[in-house]
Amino acid sequence: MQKQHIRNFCIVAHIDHGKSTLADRLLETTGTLSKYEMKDQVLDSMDLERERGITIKMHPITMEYKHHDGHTYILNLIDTPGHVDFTYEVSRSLAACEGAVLVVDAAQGIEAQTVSNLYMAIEHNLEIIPIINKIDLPNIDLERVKHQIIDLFGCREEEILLVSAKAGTGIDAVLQAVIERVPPPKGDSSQPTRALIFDSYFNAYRGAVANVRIIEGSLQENQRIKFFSTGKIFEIQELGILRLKQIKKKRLDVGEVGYIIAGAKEVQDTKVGDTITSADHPASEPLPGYREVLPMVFCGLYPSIAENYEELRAALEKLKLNDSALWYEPESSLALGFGFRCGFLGLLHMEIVQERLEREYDLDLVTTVPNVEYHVYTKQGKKLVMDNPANLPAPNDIDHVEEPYIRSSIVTPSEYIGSIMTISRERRGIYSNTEYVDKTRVNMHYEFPLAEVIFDFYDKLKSVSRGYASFDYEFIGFREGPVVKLDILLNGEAVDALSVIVHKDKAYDWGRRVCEKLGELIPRQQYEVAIQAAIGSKVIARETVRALRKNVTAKCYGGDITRKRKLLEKQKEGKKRMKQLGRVQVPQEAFLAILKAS
Amino acid sequence: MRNVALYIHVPFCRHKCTYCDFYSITDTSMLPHYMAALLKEIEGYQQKPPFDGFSSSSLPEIRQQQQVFNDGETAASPFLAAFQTMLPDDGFSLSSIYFGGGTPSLLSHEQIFTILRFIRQGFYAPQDIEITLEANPGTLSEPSAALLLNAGINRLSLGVQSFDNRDLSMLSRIHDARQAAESIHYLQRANIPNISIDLIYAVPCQTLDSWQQTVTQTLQFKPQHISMYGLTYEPGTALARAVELKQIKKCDEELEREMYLCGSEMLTAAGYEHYEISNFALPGYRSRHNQKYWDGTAYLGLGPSAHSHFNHFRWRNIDDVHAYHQRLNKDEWPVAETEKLTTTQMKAEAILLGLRRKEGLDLQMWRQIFTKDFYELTGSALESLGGIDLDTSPFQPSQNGKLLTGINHHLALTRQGLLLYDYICRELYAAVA
Repeated sequence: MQKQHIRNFCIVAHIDHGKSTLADRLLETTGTLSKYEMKDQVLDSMDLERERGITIKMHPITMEYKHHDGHTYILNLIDTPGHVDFTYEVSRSLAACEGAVLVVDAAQGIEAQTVSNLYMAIEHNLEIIPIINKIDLPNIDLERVKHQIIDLFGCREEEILLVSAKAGTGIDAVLQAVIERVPPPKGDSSQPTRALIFDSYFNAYRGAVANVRIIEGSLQENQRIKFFSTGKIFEIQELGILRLKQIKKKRLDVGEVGYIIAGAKEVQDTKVGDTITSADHPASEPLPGYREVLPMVFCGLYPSIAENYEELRAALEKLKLNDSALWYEPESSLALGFGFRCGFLGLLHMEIVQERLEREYDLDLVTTVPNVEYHVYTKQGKKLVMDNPANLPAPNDIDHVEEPYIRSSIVTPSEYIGSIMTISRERRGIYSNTEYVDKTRVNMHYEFPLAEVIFDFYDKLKSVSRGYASFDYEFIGFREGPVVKLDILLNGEAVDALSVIVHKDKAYDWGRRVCEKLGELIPRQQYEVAIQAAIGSKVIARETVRALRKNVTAKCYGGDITRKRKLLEKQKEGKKRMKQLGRVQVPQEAFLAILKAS
Repeated sequence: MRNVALYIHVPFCRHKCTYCDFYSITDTSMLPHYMAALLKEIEGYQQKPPFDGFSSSSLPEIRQQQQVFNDGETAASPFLAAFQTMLPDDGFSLSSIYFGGGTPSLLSHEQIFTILRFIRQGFYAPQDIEITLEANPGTLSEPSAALLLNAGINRLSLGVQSFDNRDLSMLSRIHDARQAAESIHYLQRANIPNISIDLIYAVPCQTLDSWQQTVTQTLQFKPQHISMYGLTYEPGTALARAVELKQIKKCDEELEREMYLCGSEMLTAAGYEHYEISNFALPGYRSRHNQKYWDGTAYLGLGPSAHSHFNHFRWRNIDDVHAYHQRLNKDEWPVAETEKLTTTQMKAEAILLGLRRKEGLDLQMWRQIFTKDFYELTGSALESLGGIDLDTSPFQPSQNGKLLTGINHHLALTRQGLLLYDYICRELYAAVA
C-alpha cells in the first residue's frame, strides 16, 4: 500500500461523549463489518466495558474507504483509553497517529478530559478534526459548543463537523475529513526499522501480541527483532493487519499499523511505548516518549477464604500477563492472613482488577483501603519506600515523610467555582490559576496530594457541580507532607489491615469517623468490643460495641421450625463474610470502612 | 403404627392483637366452610394410604406447589408419592392433640366434639391422650368450660399475658386483668385438670415491678404450667410497624434480661421445673404436645397455615381460609409448600431445637445420625464461645461464666447461655454447616 493512501487517526473524547458509537458507525459505513458481525460497542473487548458503557480501550482496527477522488484509502483507527488512570497509554496511542477526531458532546460541551487529551494530541502535532456529536438531542446549544471548540484551539467554524453517531448522520463527512485533512504518514522505509508499540495484550495460545505502528523501515515475517527497553531479541512468528480479526501478512511497511507475534511470553516483554527495531540492523535511537509505568495506588488483596491464596496468586499472574501496569507482591497481615499488596495506575484500574478477579476467577476478596506510596526518611538518614501503611516506622524514628503530588485540571461551568474551591481546600489543594474555556466555562488548575483525590474526590466534584465538572491529572513528584499513621485497635490490639496514613490535621476527624463506622458495622457479640483510633500510643477516638445481653427467640412452637431455620441459614451466610480477629468477629466491609467514613 | 402429634389450627379471632403473626381472621362467617374443609382434611388421613380419598387430578397441582426439594430429589419428583411410600400401613397413633390459633375457644363445644369424633375415626387416639385447647380470657364462661371438658378437652392453655391492664392495652388484648382472673376461676371450678397460663414480658412501658406482680398473681392460681415469652416484634405486625415509626419504644435490653431472670427464679422457687427456654411446669405437667416440636419428632398439622413434620419432610398448608376450603372442596390437598430436609438443615434443626430444652442436644444421637463427633466439628466455635462447663446442671448458673454445659453426652445451655440462645445457635451452626 502506498503510504500516501494511509491515514492513521484516533478518536479523542470524554467518557460518554459517544466514542464507541462513532466507531461503530465508521465500521458500518466503511463496510468493515457486516450487519451480522455488528453489535453495539463492537470494539470494546471486555464485558466489563460493555456493561459499564465505558471504554477503557478499544481494539485498533483497519478500515478501507473509497474516496470521491477515486482512490481507496486505508484508515487505521487507534484508540485512546478514556480515563485519567491511563494517560500514558493515551500518549503512546497519539504518537502512533497523524490525526485525531475530537468528539464533543453537543449537550455536555468541552470537559476536562477532552481538554487534556486534546492538548496532548496538539503536543504530538496531530491534525485535529473537531466534531460535535449527539446533534439529534433536544435542547442543545450548538452555537455555544462551537464557540467553546473555537476558543479552545482556534479552528474555523466551517472545520467543525456536526454528527449524530447514534442516528448515523454526518458519518461520511468524518471519513472524508480524515482523508483530506489528516496527512499521510511520513517516514522512510529505507531507514533502520523503528516500530512503536501502542498496545499489547496476552493471548493464551500465542503469548504476548503487540500492536504496532511502523514509524520507519519495515517488519517482515521471520525477521529477528530487538526491543529497546529490555534489549531482548525475538523472531517474528506472525504479523499482519487488524480487522475485527487479525489478517496475516508477509510484511508491514512504513506508516502501516498491525500486530506482531514474536514468541514473547508476557506483556512485560512488549511494553506499551517501547520501540521495536531490527536485531541485525538496529536503529541507533529508540522513539522518544517511552517510560516505565509505575503504580500510583496500592491496596492489599486477600482471599476471604484462606485456602484460596494459591488461586489468587494464579489469577494475578494471569492478569499480569496482560497488564504490565499491574504490580503485586506477597504480603501477610495478622488480621487477614496471606495475600498480596497490589499496585495500580489509579482507582479505576484498581476496581477493574478487583472486579475481574471476582468475576472471571470467581474469587471472594477482602480489600484494604487504598493508599499511595510514601517516601519515609528516618532519623538515621535512611529513605524507605512504603506502599503499606502498616509498615510505617514508629513516629519517633521518622524524620519526615514525602507523598506524591499531582497537577490537575478541573473544567467546570463557572457558577461552581466557589464550591469546587471549597472541596479542593478541604483536600489540601494548592490553587495555581484559572483559565476561561469560554464565557461560561473555566479550567481550574490545582495541585493536590494524590492521597487526597484517590478516594472520592471525583464523586464529590460531580456532586457539587451537578455532574458538570470534569477532572484530569498528572503526577508531578514527591513533596514533604505532615502525615501520620493512624492505627485502629480492636480490644486493644492494633489491626494492621486497618491502618491508614492521613494528614495530621485530619487524623482526629478520620479516627472518629472510622470508629463510628466500625461501630455500626461490627455486630454485637458475646463480649464488648472496644474500637479505638490511635496515633502511636495516643488514643484519639473510641467507640464501644456493647456485648449482647439478651438474644433469645422466645417462642418456638406452632411447628414453624422452617422459618427459624431459614433465618439461621441466612445468618450463616453473613457469618461466612466475617473475619475472626482475636475474639472479635469483623465483617469484611469493615476493611473499607474508612472509604465510607469520609 | 407411627406415633404423631396432631395440631389443628383454628384461624379465627374476635380481634387481631398487635404483636401476633399467626394466621387468623376476624370474619367468623367462614367458620362453617372451615369446619367442612377441616373435617374433609381429617378424613383424608383415614384412607390407606392416605389421600387416596383425594382425586388423582389434584396431583399436578400438588407438584406445582413443591418448591424446595433438595438432597438430589428433582423438583418434579412427586411429593405425594414420596409421602405415601413412607406412611405406615396401619395408620397413625396420636400422642397429643392441640387446638391452636387464632382463638380456638371461639369454636362451640359441639364443633370441638365433632372434630374430635372425626379425629378418633381417622387416627388411633389412646384414652389418656393430652388434648389442649388454646383459649382467651373473655371467650370463656364457667358453663362453657365444663362443656369443653365434656367435649374431650383436658388441657386448657389460657392467653392471660399479663395482670396489668396497661400491658394488656399495649398488646391490644380483648380482655382485662379482672376477666383473666375470672377465666382462670371458671376453668378451675369446672375441674379442668391441666391449666397452662401464657405470660408476656418486655412489653413496652412494662416495669420490673409490674412484671413481678403479674408473676405473683399467676402463682396464686397454682396453674399446672406456665409459659413466659419475651415480646417479639415479628415483621409485618402492627407492633413492629409502630416501632419502626418510633411511635413506641422497645423494652430496654437490660430490663428484659432482668425480667426473664427474675420470672424464671420466681417460678422455679414456687416449685415449677424450667424445662424449656420459655416453659415451666409442675412435676408431671410438661406440655406433651410442645415437646414433640422440640424433640424433632413427627407431627401433622391440619387447618390453614398449619405446619407438619414427618420423615424429614416439612410442609405447610396454605394460609388462607377461602383457598383452604376451595382446595379441599375440589378434593385437593391444601399444601402450599413442601421441603425435604438436607443433612445440613437437619443439623440446624437439631441445634435449634436441642438447645431449647433442659435435656439439651443429645450428642450420641448426633453421632449416630450425622456420623461425626459434635465436639470435633465445633471445637473452635465452642472455644470462641468460651468453652464448656462440665459441672453445671442445664439452665443453672455457671460459676465460671460459661454459656454451655456438657453432661452425660448432652450439650445444654447454662443460665448465662439461656440469655444468648440465638447467638450460640448461630456460632454452632456456622461450625457444622
